[in-house]
Amino acid sequence: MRGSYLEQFFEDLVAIVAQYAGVDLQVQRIGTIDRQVLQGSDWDKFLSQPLSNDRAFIAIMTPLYFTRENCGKELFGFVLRSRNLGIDTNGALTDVENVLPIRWMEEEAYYSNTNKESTIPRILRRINDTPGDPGDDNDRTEAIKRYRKKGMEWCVKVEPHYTELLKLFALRIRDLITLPPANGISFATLANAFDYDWKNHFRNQQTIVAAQPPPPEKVMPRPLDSVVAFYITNRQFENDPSTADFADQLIAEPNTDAGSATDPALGSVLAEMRSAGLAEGFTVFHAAANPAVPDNAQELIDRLTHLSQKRILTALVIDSNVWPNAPTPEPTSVVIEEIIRSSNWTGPVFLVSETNIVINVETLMRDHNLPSRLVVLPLGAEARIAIVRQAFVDTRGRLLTMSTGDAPGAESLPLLKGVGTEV
Amino acid sequence: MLGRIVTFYSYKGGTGRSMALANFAWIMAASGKRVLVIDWDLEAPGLHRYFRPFLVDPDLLETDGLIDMFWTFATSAFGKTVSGEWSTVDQKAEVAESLDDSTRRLDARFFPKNHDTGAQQGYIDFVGAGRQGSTYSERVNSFDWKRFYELGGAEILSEVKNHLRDRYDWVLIDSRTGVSDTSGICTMQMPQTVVAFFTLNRQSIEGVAAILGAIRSYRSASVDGSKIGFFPVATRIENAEQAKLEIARNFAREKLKGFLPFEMQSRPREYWDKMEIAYRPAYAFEEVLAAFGDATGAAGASDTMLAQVEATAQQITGDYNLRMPEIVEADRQDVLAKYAFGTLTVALPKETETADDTEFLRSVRKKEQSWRASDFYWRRLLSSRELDLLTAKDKEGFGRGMLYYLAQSEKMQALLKRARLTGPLILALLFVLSITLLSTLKEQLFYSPWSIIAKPIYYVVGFVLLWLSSVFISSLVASPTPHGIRRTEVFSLFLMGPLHPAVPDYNPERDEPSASRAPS
Repeated sequence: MRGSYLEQFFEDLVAIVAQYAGVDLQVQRIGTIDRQVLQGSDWDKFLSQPLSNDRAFIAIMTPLYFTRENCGKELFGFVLRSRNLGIDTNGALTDVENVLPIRWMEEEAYYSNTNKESTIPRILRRINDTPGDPGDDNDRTEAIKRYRKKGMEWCVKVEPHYTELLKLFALRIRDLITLPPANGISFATLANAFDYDWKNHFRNQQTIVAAQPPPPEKVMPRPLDSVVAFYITNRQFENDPSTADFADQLIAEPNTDAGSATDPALGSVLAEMRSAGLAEGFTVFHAAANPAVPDNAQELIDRLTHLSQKRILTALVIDSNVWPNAPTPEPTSVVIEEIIRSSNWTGPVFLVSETNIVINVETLMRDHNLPSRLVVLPLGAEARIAIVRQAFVDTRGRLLTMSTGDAPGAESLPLLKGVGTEV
Repeated sequence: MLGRIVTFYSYKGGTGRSMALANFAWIMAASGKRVLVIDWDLEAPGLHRYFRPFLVDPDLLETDGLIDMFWTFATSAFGKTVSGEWSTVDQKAEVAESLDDSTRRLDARFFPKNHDTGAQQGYIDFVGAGRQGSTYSERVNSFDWKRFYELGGAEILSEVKNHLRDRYDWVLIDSRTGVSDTSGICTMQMPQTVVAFFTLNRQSIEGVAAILGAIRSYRSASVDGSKIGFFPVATRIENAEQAKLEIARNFAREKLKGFLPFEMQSRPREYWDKMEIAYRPAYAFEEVLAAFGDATGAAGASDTMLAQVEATAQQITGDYNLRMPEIVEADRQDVLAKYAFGTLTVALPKETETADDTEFLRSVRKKEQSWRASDFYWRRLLSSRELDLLTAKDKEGFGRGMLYYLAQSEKMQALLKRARLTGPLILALLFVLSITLLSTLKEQLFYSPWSIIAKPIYYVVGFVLLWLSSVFISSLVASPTPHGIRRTEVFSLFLMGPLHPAVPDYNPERDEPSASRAPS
């Protein structure tokens, strides 16, 4: 069953919070997890009641959390209970009360392009997601370190860190002030906090001036561990402010700091590529040539080849409106086909179909004399992620096998000899 | 002391290799060892099934494992060997971290080795084959082991070995069958000991003999030349065709005689008596640990799976006191339900009247383990009050281990009773004796002024010596004594007589496994 770590965590947290509060769980139920709307219950009330009355809101932060409408609605409902809610010049909510974000996944999950932590949306930037550490207990310090590095999911049932962290969360919950209950919240009518116009909401209030946050720490692609995907698209996108030497430009995802102007359809492809990578333990970088639909094949081939030689995974993601379904194919199609045909780089070519036009890969490859690296990404995030994962794993395997260069003094693989061999 | 890496190998599948491994791990953890189990059968992973009730994610859908770890190793080897520019991480730390990433501790409580010194607690850490899901097979099949070795994989693996031997007492590897890439690594490079499973047919026997020969010659040729120990185990023994069984058995024993442990080569009968596991249809249908699969009633005799995995473990470790811990029937049923339904908590009807009784029986069993784990310290035996409380019906539910414990406790009580009486009795006898002696020898004793001072000293010293030696002799002849008690302990008990401390009742602080720390 998926989500078993989450359920275990919820159960254990409820138990320890009850213990601190002196609540007998046999008599009184505390805590609500939104996955458990019971059949036959009033679902709106089930979700709205705790949002308007409970003491604390725990946001389990995964990269997907920030893209889910329902999560945004829940957060919106609870956040409005804060008494002095405001916004700062960076777009982060100020004076948020009783919201405890928990980093669920390893730190790589919050990377976007070369920036650490930039998938955490702007509005939550001022809320600390890590328990405070007075530094007087080595076990606690170690537990917090693991939590930051590997996320809470990894820490579930890993002792002694788990008990330590549960204790810290429970103490924090116990010491929160009690917020006045909100009246008349209905889950159905709530707005999504992640794309709500907060600036407008606080237009009559003074905006708190905040210093520009320091530029985030940078990450770079590693061999067999990172994917650089080049997008060939004529959709609008926003540049990631950071630059890298492995690509002409980096594309910012819509849900991150910079990418508010990135086309939503392209944005979902970006998010899917990143999720697929994450599921297989890859860090994905969104790159593009300049211009994004290249007029010269060689430059992009050189980029891809260079990365392949470094054994960094590469992928080409082509918008099917650019190729092969462009209304005026020449001369772009010649360039693109040359890139696909090049055997100097290793990696899949994803064709993103946004419409109902069926792309027949076999005919395409036969007609244009292309190698069999074309993969169509159908509609629907789940189907796409599954296909992309498969392609990534496959590419990594080929990169490892194709690699050259031996470690000095490397031993060879010990092979068992079977029956009939001379011993 | 460095831990031992043991690989469980079989030439063909279906020999009960994983089952034996899982049970071995359980027994070792129950006797206070730090155990790591690794599912290295990447093509057909299944070890996690035996630990189902004790894993948060029993189907490993969200848990990284061995293959995920190896891909990290490949990245690390690659960074170091080929593209030096990205290699900034210390390999040792990276090995430790990726191991950490895929290791999960089983949610089961075992007993600390020694309560008095607060020494280590036994546990089982588990490394699964890898995160299960649609790309699992791709991840496994695309891993190029040959290339990994060319990139310096052997060096990383020896780092892994050092790290593991440092952290665990026992590292158990469930190997791939046959002569695949990974079975070579599991059997030749990693272990100090190979436990080889085979069924009694020609292919299996010859296969396993050839493999053991190959391992031996590889190890003697390799640089470190370290010794490797073999333990062949015959499994799926069925007694239906007696005559054919005998032929196959003799063939196997002849083929494998060179691979028995050195001290066993002169007495193969004794070795093989412990190293055969019979075929049990019930275990063929469901992966269940023998501790839970076999009821440990008095009927649970020596030919159960439980008894056989115990015997195997005893032979491999050389520790003939190893036992599978016994559990209260209600708890056993609880765990069995979890085997059947996964993490779904099954609300079993709880009989409230008997809850206290069950609690008492649970504590009695905990005490037994605590006794075993403390090297049979006599103060961990049952107290006289506990012996009184046990009903005949309770005793019917006891297995061999518990019955033995009961017998030892009764012996202890008898011993204490004797000690209580003997000490004062000897003292009284000596007193009477010395009075008589004094009155008859009065004339000779005090004939000079010098002897008036010296003689009483001689007399007192003589009295004490006589007393000590008679107590000593009576403690020597005292029998039967419970298992594990030392002569010095018996002697001091006799010496103290009625002043000796009693066997204490169950005390959760001392006899419980150290629970995860409760909030203060």
